[in-house]
Amino acid sequence: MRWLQHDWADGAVVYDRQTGDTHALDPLAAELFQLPAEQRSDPASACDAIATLLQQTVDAPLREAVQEAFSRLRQLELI
Amino acid sequence: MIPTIGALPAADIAAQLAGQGLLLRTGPIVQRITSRLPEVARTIRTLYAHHPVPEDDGFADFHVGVRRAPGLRGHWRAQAEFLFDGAQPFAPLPLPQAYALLEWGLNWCVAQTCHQYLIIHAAAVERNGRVAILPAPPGSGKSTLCAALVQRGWRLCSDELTLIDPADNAIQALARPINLKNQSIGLISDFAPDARFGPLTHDTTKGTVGHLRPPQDSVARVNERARPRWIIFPRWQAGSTPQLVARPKAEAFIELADNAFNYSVLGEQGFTTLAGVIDDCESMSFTYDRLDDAITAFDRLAEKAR
Repeated sequence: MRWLQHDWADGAVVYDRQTGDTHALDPLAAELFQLPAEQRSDPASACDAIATLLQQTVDAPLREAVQEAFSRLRQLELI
Repeated sequence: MIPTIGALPAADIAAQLAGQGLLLRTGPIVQRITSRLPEVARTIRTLYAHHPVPEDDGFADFHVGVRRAPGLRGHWRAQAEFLFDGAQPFAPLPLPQAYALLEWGLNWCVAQTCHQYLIIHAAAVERNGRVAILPAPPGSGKSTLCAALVQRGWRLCSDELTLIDPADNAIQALARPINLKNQSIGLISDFAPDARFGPLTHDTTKGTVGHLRPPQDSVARVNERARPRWIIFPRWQAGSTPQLVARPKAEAFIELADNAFNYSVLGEQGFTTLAGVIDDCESMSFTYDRLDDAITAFDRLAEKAR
């Protein structure tokens, strides 16, 4: 397993065993990062999965928040 | 009864420093210090007065020295050199800064070699068995606050180097002198007139620095380990009222990791240790102006955690 994740209610940190880097994630990005690889690499299915977790329907604010979290994970090269 | 450094005659200390070296134990660390500089001998006797004289079994973790630079550099604008195992790890400083160079050098030795601990650039103080870790950049008032707290009943673990044992996340104290700068020196002298400083060193890159002797009780209890309970990022701000504001744990983690000397050296162990510490602690920012108000806020935290 390449990544080690530690969660708190207000966020998480992820340790990369390959590079030694550590990243802080907000709760949504942390949840996104825990999705199965095929879901977290596709914004649409990631959004569906998060909506299911939240027990709500996909709407524009959720889509936007997931897109933002997705971009954050991309920027950190976590996906 | 174990003799203390302060109980040794000044001539004995000077002779040991000039000879095979003076042994000094600070928590788990034993250093053998050599120096022929009278000011260094006097200041060690003042600042480490409460430290016991360790038994000399021939072992020391660090062999360090501070000396007048040889040749012309020791005379023309005389310089002092710090030696670690006979090597010079950093550039010399003006001779009047010799004692400060020794303290900074000892910090460097710990930060560079004590990787059995996760070492954070932070002060740590303890009350009722619980430790507050105060990480902060220079100028934030961390050392001033630490000095004030230990003059009002908090136990000094460390002013500069917080040692966390990865085995149980407990803090190992060092109880070494507190390094204060510029206005903080006068502030603490007024706040605690009985507090004992070594001689002031002027014109350093940090301005005027003075080292404050650690309280006797902190030295006596140096091996009493305690678990961290709070991570508090202090910031002195003129005119502010004391305010503690919760910080997200992930953010506190990254800030502590950034303030660690050896987080990346420890790798995954550093990550799990720090995560465990954050689990156990409340993370807060603390803004303050008056030291008395800061003490009250800290005392309240300690009382609440009982």
